[in-house]
Amino acid sequence: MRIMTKSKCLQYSTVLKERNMPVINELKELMLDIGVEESIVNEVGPEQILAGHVMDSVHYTAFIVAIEERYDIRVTDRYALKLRTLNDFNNYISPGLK
Amino acid sequence: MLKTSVSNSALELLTGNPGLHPDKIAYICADKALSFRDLNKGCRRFAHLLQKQGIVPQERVLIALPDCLAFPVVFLGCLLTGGVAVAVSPALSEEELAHIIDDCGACILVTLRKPAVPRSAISDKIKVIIYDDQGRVEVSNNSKELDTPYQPSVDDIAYMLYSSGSTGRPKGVPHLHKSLLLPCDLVGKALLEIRSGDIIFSTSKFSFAYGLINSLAFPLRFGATAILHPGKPDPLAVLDIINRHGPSIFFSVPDIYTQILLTCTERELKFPMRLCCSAGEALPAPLFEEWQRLTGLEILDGIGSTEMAYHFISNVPGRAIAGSAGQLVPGYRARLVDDDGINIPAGREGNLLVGGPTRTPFYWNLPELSAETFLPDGFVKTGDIFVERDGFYYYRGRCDDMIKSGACWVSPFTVEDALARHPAVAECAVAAITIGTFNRPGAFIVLTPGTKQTPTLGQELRRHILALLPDYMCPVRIRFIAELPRTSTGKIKRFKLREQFAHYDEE
Repeated sequence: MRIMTKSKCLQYSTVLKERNMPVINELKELMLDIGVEESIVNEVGPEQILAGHVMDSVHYTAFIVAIEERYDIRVTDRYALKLRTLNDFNNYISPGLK
Repeated sequence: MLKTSVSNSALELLTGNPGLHPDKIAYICADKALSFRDLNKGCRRFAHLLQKQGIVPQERVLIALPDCLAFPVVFLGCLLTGGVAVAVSPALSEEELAHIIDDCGACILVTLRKPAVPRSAISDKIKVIIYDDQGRVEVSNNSKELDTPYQPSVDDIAYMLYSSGSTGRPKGVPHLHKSLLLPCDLVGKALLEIRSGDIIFSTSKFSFAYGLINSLAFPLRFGATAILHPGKPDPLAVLDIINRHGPSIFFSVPDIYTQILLTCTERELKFPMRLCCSAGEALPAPLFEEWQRLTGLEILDGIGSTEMAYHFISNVPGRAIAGSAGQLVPGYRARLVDDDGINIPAGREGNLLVGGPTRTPFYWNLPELSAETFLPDGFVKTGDIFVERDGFYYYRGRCDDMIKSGACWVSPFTVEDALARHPAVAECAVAAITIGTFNRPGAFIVLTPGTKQTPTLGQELRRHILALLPDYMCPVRIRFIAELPRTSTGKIKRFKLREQFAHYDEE
């Protein structure tokens, strides 16, 4: 299930266009927001495994919550087990932005 | 009248395995190992040291040690003298440690120099025995061994663990000697078929009922070997231990299984385990299925409690069902009842009552709570809501406000007290929330007049909590609301909050 309200989607797409900012960078901003250290966030590549390497389970759950609230989507139990990298999150979020 | 005597469980575990080779390794911790012979010797030496310190039977010895080679030596050494071993996490806060020392009336504290327990929590009355990081006692080069182990009577307490209470204050859960031995027969032998060739690795620590039986009782009862990990069980450390030591039985919790899956990129995972077991909180069906898809192994979920010493409901190898805690362990009894205590038919939700031979006799120093929880017919109120179908039990939630986060109990009051210390918080309430397959606390907050809800306020509040409480207690979702839902008597309607989190998830 991936749900994004229309108003939120339009609002978010506008933000992206205005800033010309890829979703990956937005996700990195969210990582900073939830308290992951800046030096770690700067080093994270799009294919790097997040759990254990970059975020512990507390950060990981806070990250999913931040994504759900920012993009107005719900990450289901089944999908949450497959979202390992920033690219995974990007692929999960992006269809709702088109 | 003379009381019936029973076996000393420590003696049974140390010497009761007739086929045991004394030079076999009982414990491995990092690059150190302890043979069964040295363990036996170490326990008897430590018991002698305790006797020299003046311990008498049934006096409490507080053990604040990580999972290291010293732990089984100290715990079993204490039981050999008739002392009550009180095992707690060395990471307790000053307030919790002071409460436990006061509550259990410990006369001796055993701990490591590093990590040090908060010294300010320790009164002058308590003697402190320090183990160094090599597992040696610093206060004495004692080489004498205890001659005659204590012969306990049938109602003597062997050990005590502390479990989080609904008020946030840990409550003491004492156990008789049989509680260390019976889970070996009822679960270890009958269900898991543990044998001397097994290598056991439990990410749950000795200070938890689950970890104590996994890492202390099982390896010694069956002459197997256990791997100890003193640090936090982060997924990379756990994977490293699995790769280096090749455990055949892995005991863990859903949180760790999820994190292991999230760290892996391969299409399939090859693990050496013959059994993977889970407890501490309900194992979500998607996690069971994804683990099985990637590893080819089923996860045997089970439910136990500190009050019952170990599992009373468990899946069995080869017949595990995704999303179910399993079937009643032979030797235990269970009933599902409504709020009036009337039995509920199969297929309907009810409060789980359980009875069995490893039940704690009472909560320490809490007669009213004991009378409320332990029923005259021998059943215990678990506080869990289950449904039973075809003999399999399915978890449906809690009938109180307690939250299971990362397999640890969290009282909402503890988190609310900490949140309320922030100047932006006028009122708050905490309830359980599910994120993916993780259970965590979530918070509803009413801001103080004049405080603006800024985008960074949630993060600031989370930082505030992390400075006061362990990370698993930190709310992952914070919702700002105008007022909290309350009953006519002013009590917070927590079920409404849980519904609001659930409603948000379903939007």
